[in-house]
Amino acid sequence: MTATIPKVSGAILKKRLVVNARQQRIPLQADVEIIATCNFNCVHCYIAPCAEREDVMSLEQAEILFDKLKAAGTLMLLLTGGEVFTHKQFKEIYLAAKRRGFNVYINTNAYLIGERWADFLALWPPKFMSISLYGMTPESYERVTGIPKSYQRVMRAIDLLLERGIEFDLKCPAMTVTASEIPAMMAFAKAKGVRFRTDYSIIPQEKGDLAPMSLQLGPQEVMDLQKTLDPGLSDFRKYAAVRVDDSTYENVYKCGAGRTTLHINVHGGVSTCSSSRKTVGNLFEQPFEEIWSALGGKVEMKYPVGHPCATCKFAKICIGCPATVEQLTGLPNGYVQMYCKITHQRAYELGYHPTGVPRTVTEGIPRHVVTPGRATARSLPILSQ
Amino acid sequence: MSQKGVNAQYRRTDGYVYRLTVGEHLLVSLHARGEEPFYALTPTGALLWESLAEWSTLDDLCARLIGEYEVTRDQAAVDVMDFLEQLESLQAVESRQLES
Repeated sequence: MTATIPKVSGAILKKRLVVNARQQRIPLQADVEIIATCNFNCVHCYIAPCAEREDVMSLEQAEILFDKLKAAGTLMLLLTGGEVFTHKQFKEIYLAAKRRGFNVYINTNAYLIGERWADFLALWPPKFMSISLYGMTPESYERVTGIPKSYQRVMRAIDLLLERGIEFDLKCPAMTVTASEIPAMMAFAKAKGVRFRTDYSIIPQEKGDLAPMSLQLGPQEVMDLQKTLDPGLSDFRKYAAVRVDDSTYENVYKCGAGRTTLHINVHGGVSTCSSSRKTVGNLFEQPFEEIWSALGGKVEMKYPVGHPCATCKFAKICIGCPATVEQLTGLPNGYVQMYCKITHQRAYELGYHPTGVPRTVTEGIPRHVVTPGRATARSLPILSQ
Repeated sequence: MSQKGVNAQYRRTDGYVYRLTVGEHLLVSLHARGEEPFYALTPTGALLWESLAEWSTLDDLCARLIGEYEVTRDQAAVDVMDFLEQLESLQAVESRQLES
């Protein structure tokens, strides 16, 4: 018996929590969408264009959720939107989360962060913030966001947060309208001493409109950008080296979704993550255990015999995931040829395909291969890329 | 044992929240920045943290430990003082001197 605070570094403690949460299937991390509307009109957005004015979680609803999540064991809580700072009760919701002992993370476009919000965040620091960046000139920024002065406002917010030591990273989706400036964004982030990340996968709007898909980069464009950001692909080569193997994958979901993480939309609907908009239940109406059990059932989904992804040695470096595949095909175990093309092009660039990208990838999978949602998947224009 | 320890009362500050999750007793900081703004407690530390919701003397805290664990008073006193010092360094506990 010793009453003490053991000298364990935060990072090691977090690792221990994650490992044990995975073993015990505890929802250690939850994403809560407190508002679906946004003050930007981004061309690629999959949530806000479908949102109505009333798509806002009230403080009372948020508190009910927080109590359920706390009881279930959640420690990391991401507040996301829409744009969270446009929520009229954001401060109250944020403090309600902090005072329940969550490590609170925030996703934001930072447009509304002025001196007052920056001072508030300095007093009540989030564990981490993630700021969306859309360009490195006012013109390019506004081309994506549709909002005048958005570039200037976000740049000022970044400086205000840096001055106060608030920890954040910058991120931008790689798409036709941002690709040319992503190297400059990366350099900007480096100069500011913050991490920058990008994602190559665009998904349709929540209600199915495919308009954002016209912004998706094709395989060669992805590779060109990746080679600019990572000369010689040295970082990606190291990343792939420990992930490319001859394993077969019975399980469709390989991430923590439904095992240690979940996403809750503005109406209380629960899904695997923010990219998946298909809910398995509603936390405002059902007990947590019931929904967590349903989510657990979903992520136990297996690939059907013969599914190309089940035996793909590049599955762990695929740009797609069950959630984005679900958004594109209607099923998490569907097949999206665009992902296949991009991923195999990456594999080729790394030297895994000495004779070139296989024809099954470039010309489509053979007719005899059973793939759920194939008809849906094939009807998507993006698959012709 | 310091005079401060014997003649003082202690109470936890409102800068931390206690959480028991995934089998870990955690103190989560409300105001700290940094990589991981939380600390692990041993189960006995968690027991004392609960007692520190109210102003408590060293005797009160030792009695709580002795009541729950088979431990001598001297042993408990050493442990409690160590723990309080650690909490003080985190500004997780405040103290006031008792009238003598």
